[in-house]
Amino acid sequence: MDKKKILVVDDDFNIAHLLNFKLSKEGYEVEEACDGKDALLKAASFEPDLILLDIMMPIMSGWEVNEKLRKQPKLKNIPVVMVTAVDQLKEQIKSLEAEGIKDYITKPFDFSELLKTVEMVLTKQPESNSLRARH
Amino acid sequence: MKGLNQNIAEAILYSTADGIVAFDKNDKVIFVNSPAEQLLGIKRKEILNKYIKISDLLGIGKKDYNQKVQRCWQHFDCRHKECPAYNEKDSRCWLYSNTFCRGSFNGTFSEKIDDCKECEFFKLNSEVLEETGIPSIKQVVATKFTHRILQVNTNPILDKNGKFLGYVKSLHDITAEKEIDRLKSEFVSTVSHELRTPLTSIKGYVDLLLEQEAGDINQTQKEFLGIVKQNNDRLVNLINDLLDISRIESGRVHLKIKSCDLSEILTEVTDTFRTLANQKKQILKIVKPKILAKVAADRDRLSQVIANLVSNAIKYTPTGGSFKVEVSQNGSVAQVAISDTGIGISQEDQANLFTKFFRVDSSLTRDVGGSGLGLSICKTIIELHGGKIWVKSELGKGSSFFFTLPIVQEVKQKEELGKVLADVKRGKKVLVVDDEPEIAMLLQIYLEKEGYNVIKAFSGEEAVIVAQQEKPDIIILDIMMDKMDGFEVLQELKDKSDTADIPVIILSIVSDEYKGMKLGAVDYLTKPINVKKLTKTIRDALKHMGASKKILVVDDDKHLVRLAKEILTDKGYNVITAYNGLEGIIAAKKEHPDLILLDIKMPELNGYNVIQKLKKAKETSKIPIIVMTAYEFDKTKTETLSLVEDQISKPFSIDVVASKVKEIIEGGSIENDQE
Repeated sequence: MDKKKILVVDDDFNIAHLLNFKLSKEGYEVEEACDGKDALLKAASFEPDLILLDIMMPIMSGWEVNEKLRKQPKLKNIPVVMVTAVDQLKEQIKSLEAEGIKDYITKPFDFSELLKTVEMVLTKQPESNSLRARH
Repeated sequence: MKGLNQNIAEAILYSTADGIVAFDKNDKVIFVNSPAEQLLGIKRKEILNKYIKISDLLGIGKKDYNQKVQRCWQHFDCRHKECPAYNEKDSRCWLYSNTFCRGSFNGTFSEKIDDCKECEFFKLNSEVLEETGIPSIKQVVATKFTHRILQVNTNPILDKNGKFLGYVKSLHDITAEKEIDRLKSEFVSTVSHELRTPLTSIKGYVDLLLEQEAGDINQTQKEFLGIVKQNNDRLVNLINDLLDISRIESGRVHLKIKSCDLSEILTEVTDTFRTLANQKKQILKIVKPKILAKVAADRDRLSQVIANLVSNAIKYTPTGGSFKVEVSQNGSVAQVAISDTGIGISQEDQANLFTKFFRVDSSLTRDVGGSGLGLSICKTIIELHGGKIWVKSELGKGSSFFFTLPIVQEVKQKEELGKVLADVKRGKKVLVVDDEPEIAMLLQIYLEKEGYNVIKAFSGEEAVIVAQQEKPDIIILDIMMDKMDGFEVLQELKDKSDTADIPVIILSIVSDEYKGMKLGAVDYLTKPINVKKLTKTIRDALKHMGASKKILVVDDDKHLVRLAKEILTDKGYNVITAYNGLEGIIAAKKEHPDLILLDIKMPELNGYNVIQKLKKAKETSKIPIIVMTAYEFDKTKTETLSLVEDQISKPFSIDVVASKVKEIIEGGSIENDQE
């Protein structure tokens, strides 16, 4: 079976690296991006199955990155999981409402929670795609 | 003498920090003090003796907003952020008003006030001080020219015969307070982000090391890393607790009260602590009755309380000791006791235990750690539920923490239910309103599978038109829509006589059920859609329609209202709610309920006044009333009380409420022959 590909986006290098390390250990193929622009470039070249996206980043926020992803035909079907340190229910609810965003994880996270979410979104993917296709 | 008095009065008025502007009865400015000049950014000589309106001085155009504001007044709920009087904290509309109501003053002031009392605008926009008969109006206004936020109080000037001479506006600058409020919430969210980010790294890398992902570590290294991890977790918990407290204190916590299975929650929570207890070789005993009625509670919040108390019990019980979780049912309340066999708490410390940041000072508590916020949060949560929390403890013998929660009575018609339901749903017409076609479609698929007849509307405007043409049996309404949002649609539907009776279920990601319920929605669902819940809610709503009796609950205690609503809805009644006396009277007139449950002790218009007014007005005089109070009934008001059908004292048992309600509603007009 092919390795699933995950792009992790965080302006805090330590956190991006942490996610990279853990997810690689779990058998995923991982790429890091350090800001929104970088994320969009790597999304196009790396073609990930999932993007873990930080919300509070300078210049381009996670929301904007997600919006831009949805506008590109090649990238618009990549599911996104928001990773946020912002303790605001509003933000969390917003993340479930925005197109493409499947779930969110709050920082600091437990590895078990992280892995569970990632796995769930990756396995659920075909089903939700078909739902969109029906429309 | 008179001259001196006038000098004193003037000196006082000039020396106060608040701005004061006085007008005569024709709106001519007759007095302006210096703070008012500054707050309004205007010179005294420019306005003195001129006929001018306060709205012009404040720089707020009144006319443009009149229409929208009228709607705000009608339902106490201002959602127009562009309105100059919009206030996020208190969304009631405190519109600046130039006078006490529209129109000019003729005749004596008390005559005018009597007239005013019949005017909807006046009723809704003023705080009427019933005792003195003199209204005073408070509003919060943002000025356009000086960019200040002012609290404006309006008071009438009367002569000794009560004739209206003019009015005084006092302007109190609250800009700084508002700014502090804003800064505080901004600070909290920044702190949250800036602290969590580094803690994420610390936690993550330490976890990696502990999991030996970066190579083997020896026992000592493991121990040290364990300490780092523990303290990191402690910091994270502290931040979460602080945010929680700040949310609770600012009133941003809304409980989602449902009937919950208490013993299920207890098992669930204690299970998560099993490993921890096993590590300390502790024995956990759970004692619960075979049958335990459901409690009215917010599941997540209740779990939070139990988790907090259980984790404390584990912390303070020595290794190898035992602790106990015990549930019992005591009349109308369920009681939970969580007892440890730890060091106990002195009488002195028990008194302070539930206060913020209080920590019992001992070597053990220092070892154990904690923010000193947990119990304070528990107390707030339990009290929001209408329960009580307390501690019993003896030094050296351990401590027991108790809390109570109100019980919800089970409905026993379950078998009948199935039959009724099948009839209820056949061919019923459901209108689905959502601006996202994808979601509307999804709902249609779900509901058609259930046998409903589905029609759709994709905007608020369309929904109103379709509802009028098609007369659906029920409407499912999305809130977040462009142009006309769901709340506006709901208001519009309830305003029109031909659509007012169609039950509306709100479906949204916005969790603001009070607003929807107040506007007359029958139920509330949140996205993402839970199909089972959706169909159940629709069935319930259809079942309650028509046949059920309408009960109005009036109480300023929101949680009590919710509880009463929960109990009575469960019994099959159609419940409408009001949160103060005035709202209650208006609701009674508009909705003609079959029964009113009325709280006595409310601010502004109290229960006695409400009774008098209801019994005086023709259209409401025959509605039976049950009064409830936590205090002794006022003996001087026995005459008023003789007008009501029954009394209940708080805290009430659900049985009593249900049986009294049933007796009066189904017993018909036995009591009515007194009049």
